[in-house]
Amino acid sequence: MPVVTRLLSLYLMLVGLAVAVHFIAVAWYHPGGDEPYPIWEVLDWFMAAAILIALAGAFVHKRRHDAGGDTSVLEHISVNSVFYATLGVGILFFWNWSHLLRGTGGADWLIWNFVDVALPLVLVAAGRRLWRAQEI
Amino acid sequence: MAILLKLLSAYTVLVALLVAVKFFSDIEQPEWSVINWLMAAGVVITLGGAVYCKRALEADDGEPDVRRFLDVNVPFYAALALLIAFAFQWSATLNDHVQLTVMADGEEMTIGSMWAYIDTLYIVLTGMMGVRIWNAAGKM
Repeated sequence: MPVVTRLLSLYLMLVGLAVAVHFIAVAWYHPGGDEPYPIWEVLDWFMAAAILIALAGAFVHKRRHDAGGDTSVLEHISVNSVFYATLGVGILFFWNWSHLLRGTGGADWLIWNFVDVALPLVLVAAGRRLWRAQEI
Repeated sequence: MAILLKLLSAYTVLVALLVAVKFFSDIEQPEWSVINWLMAAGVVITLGGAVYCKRALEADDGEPDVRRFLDVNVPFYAALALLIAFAFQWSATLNDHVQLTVMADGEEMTIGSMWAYIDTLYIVLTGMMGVRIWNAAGKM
């Protein structure tokens, strides 16, 4: 189980890094406008999986923390920050992505920009937490 | 080392002030194309300071107090966000990469730019980190 957990945490951090690097790099090779973004179209699936994994991990940590009666304020802030940040970014991601997949034209570029900035932070934080916990 | 840190912190604060003046009053010179290069160095210095503080916090034995925990972690994640957003928007500017434009009053306008958010975060974060680095250098 610790091996699986470490692999999952590595996956989260690698996807976070890939999102950040590609977000910055896209302006160097893509003309912009309405042209398709084939790399984002693939990366979106990895991002979706990473969000679900991060959310599951953060939820388990939160439940354990809430049930354990741990009075550490720092742990409380840390666990809840990761959980609610992942939840918030996840909601925005799936909302925007569903518009894109359905081709309804409602996807918002500013929301993509926000997701692409926030998701690496959330995934790195969730990945590091998972790496240290070594168990889901 | 203390002198180097003071120079870096002075640079960071001065660029933050320059960005603030340009942002609010839109003076003609220097142009944003020049300021962006100065900002890039400021972002790197700020992130370097934030990473140093985070590593120092995690190296300490025992649990830090809440104030120090927040003082270190909030600027750290904010600096990471600033780096990603600034690098993207600057790359987009350098490469004329426009995500979305609209026609308004007969003129084509770019929408979807994050510069206003980036400049605001830059002024607050790098200014704050510059002052912190200055104070830390004074105690060395």
